[in-house]
Formats: sequence, C-alpha cells, structure tokens
Amino acid sequence: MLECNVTHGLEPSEKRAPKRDFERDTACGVEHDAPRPAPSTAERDFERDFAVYESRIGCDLRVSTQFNEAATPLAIDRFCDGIGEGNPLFRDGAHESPWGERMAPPSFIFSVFPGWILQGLPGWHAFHTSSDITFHQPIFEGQAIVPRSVFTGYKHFPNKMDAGSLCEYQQASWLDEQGQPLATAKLSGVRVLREKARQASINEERVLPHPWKPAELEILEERILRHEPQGTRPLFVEDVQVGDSLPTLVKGPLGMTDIVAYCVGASPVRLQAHELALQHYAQHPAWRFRDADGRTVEPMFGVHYNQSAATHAGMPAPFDIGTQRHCWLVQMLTDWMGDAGFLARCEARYTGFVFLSDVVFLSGSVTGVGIEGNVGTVSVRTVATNQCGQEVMRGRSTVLLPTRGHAPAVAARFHDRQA
Amino acid sequence: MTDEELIARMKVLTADCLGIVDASRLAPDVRLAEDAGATSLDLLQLVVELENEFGISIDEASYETIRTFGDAVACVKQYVAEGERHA
Repeated sequence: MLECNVTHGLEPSEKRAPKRDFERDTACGVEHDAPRPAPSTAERDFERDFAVYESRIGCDLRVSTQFNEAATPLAIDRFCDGIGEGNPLFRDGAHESPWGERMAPPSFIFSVFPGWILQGLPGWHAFHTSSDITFHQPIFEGQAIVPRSVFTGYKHFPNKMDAGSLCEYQQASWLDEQGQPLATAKLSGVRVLREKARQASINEERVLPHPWKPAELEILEERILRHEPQGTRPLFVEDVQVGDSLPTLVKGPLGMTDIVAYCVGASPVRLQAHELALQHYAQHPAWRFRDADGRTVEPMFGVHYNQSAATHAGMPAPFDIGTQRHCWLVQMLTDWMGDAGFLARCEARYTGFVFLSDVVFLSGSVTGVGIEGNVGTVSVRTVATNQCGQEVMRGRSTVLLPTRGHAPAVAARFHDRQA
Repeated sequence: MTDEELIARMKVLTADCLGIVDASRLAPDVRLAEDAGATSLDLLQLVVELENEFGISIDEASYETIRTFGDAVACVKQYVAEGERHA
C-alpha cells in the first residue's frame, strides 16, 4: 500500500527488472534477440506485478502489523515474558540503575512492529534474512513509539544459479512522538519465486525433533538457570580486551509455548479468528492453507507452530521467528554489558533455521575497544549455533560502556541530550 | 584516495562483513566464497556495504564478476575512478 512518494536520504536503490528465463530464446541453447512471441497472460501479469513492485521503491510501506503503541508497564512485562527476559532493569520499576527509571529492553521495538514488512509481489515467497539496528535512545517506561517503514530497493543475487530470487531492502524507524528516532534499522529479505521455493524444500539430515537424552536436558536446564546478567555491577571498558569472550546465553530446547509466548508479547503478525479470518483469507487466499490433519483453515504464519503448515511450506518442522532470535541476541548483549551500558548497534543475519526442539547457544567476542572521554565503545562479533554446532545467526554489535570510576557516564550522555 | 588507502579500507570492511578475524590475510587471490566461506547473501551484503562506504552504485553485471578479493578491489576502483571523473 503506497502512502506517498517521498525520499528520506535513503541509499541509492537498484531498479532493474529481474532476470526472467522466459524472456530469452533458449530453444537452441543460445540467447539472442530473436523476435519474441506475444506475451502470455501470465507474463503480462508478471510484468504488471513487478512494475507495481518497482514503483514502490522509495515509498512508505503501510505498517499493518503494529502491536504495541507504547512501552506501558504491562506491554514491557508481556514482551519480557515472551523472550524469557528476567533482567530487573527491565522488570522492576523500583530497580536502581544509572538510568533512574524503568526501561524496556532495546528489542522491545520488535513488539511495536518487526521492522520487516511483507509487501505484495504475487507468486514470490519472502524470507526476512537480516536486521541491522541502530539504537539512538533508550526506551523508558511510558514511551510512545511510532513505526515507519520504507522500501529502499532490491538486488539480484550474484550467482546465475540463484535466478528467480532477489534480495529486497527496507528501512525501518521507531520514532518518538516528536518524530525523533529511537531506533532505525536496515533490513533485508530474500524473495524467491514460489515454484522455486517449493523445489528447494529444506532437507535436514539430522533427526527432528532432536533426540535429547534426559541427562542432557538436565545439564541444559541447570546451565540456563545458572546464567545471570551483569546487572548493577558496572562493566567498565577498561575491563574489556580484544579477544574476550562474552558469556553464552542458552535458549531452548525451543518449544511451542516459547513461540506462543513470543506471539503474545510481540505479536509479529496480526492473527484473526473465525469469520474475520475467513473474510481476510477471501482477500488474500495465498496467506492461508488447509491443515491436512484437522481440516481447519490456518495462516501460513503457522509454519512457526504447526507441523502441517511447516510441511506445506517444505520444512521438516516448525521453526522460530527471526526477530524472536534477534531478541535473544539483544538479551545476551545486555546481560553482558550490565545496567550501566548501552547497546548502540545490533546487526544479525539469520543464517540457518532453528526448529522446535533445537537449542541455541548465543555468544560473542570482542573485536575492538575505543575510549572517548568517560565513555568506551566496544565492537563485538556475535554468533549463534545450535546443538549440532551449526551456525544459525551471526552479526556485529556495538556497546557503549563507562570508564572506571564513571559508572553513570553512558546514561548521563543520553540524559544530557534529552535535557 | 590512493590505491593503498582504498585497499586498506576494503580489507577492514570486507573482514568485518564476512567475519574474517585477520583482515591482513585478505590477499588479492583469496576467493570470497570458497576460501572465506561467504554465501550469496554475504556477497550481496558486501556489495551494499561497499556502495555505502565509497558512495558508488555497482551494477549487476559488475558484481556478478566478483569472485576474489582482488576482483572486488578492481570493481570498486573502477567505480570510484568513474565517480571522480564525473565529479
């Protein structure tokens, strides 16, 4: 849905039409400018749909998936419940910190809207593949948040084997009531022709659900419960060195309730029931499917909690939500940096699937340390792997830490800006 | 910007984007996919970050030819030079 044709200092966008094999005369194995037959109806539809898609570049996308409108106490609580966030900085209004009041986790922005907008391009699947978020301001309790999304362009893959797929780029903003950014993000997603996506179904060689042994689960649960955030003990930049490892945060084995709890706290899509669902699917038939077992009508979003939906999409099992995994990464970083720090950037690329029963180990290592005045800037490379050692996410983050003896320095920097 | 400065900036950016611990190991003949483990998505991400870093817009025909770090350097040098000619 287009709202206006505006520019916001966005990066230059690629505006070329994608390669389409049916445009080429390859009957004798060569490509040349032979006279083309009149396009079929399907080809004309494709041309029209893609022209509409391209015309949206630079335009605002309608945010129809907005959930929270403000960081109310209850909204923060529900969101924290949904990601397993127990840090008192985000849970306890009476908790004392350099910030002076209760905050929402930085990842709370995903409960306003996930950043990535599924825009119409008939016949093309979409997968959100990365988010590179810059946090400009902390989010305090009571903060109203206004979402915004812009389609910034697309590029083809640099690989002939990937014909029929492209990478789409969007820019998201979470603004305060004055229009100032609390956070901004560059997002990318892969668009794949539906036929190609079905052919490329994921064939996991490992056993799913993972055959956990009771003793293994006991060790995992003990490790999860032993993990504690840095909290009120300030982490000073002088205590951090290049090569340091961050404490690993463990999530899982991922259960269906973990997915449901995230949907309750962050509602990444708008789900409707009964006649409202049927009315919605009448307008968007591609967003529904008929459950092979219960014969019920279900949303395609059910790939995250419904085996039948996952099977329908060519997946071996239901899998987690990209932004949900990103929230765990933010938690790993805020747990490490303590109350006195500020997460300034958090980039994540979702490089593998996390299926129900999988465990995710989130960790990081310090790649750079700098100091300016009483505030240090720490660069961190992050990685998340599953129980088989397969990478499922990686990225880069930047954290601000105070120098020794100046614990409130980072918070003071933001309070000075707000004054 | 000298060639040395451009290559130095590209090494830092490429290592950061592809998760290479030691940027100095990015020799011209290092294959980004086979040696550095970059996926198609990583290569696209690298193209986008190079465009942002150097203020250029690399067209598809050019970035499809990038296989090695040396290819990437040659590509960026060409676009930067064209930009300076048109400035």
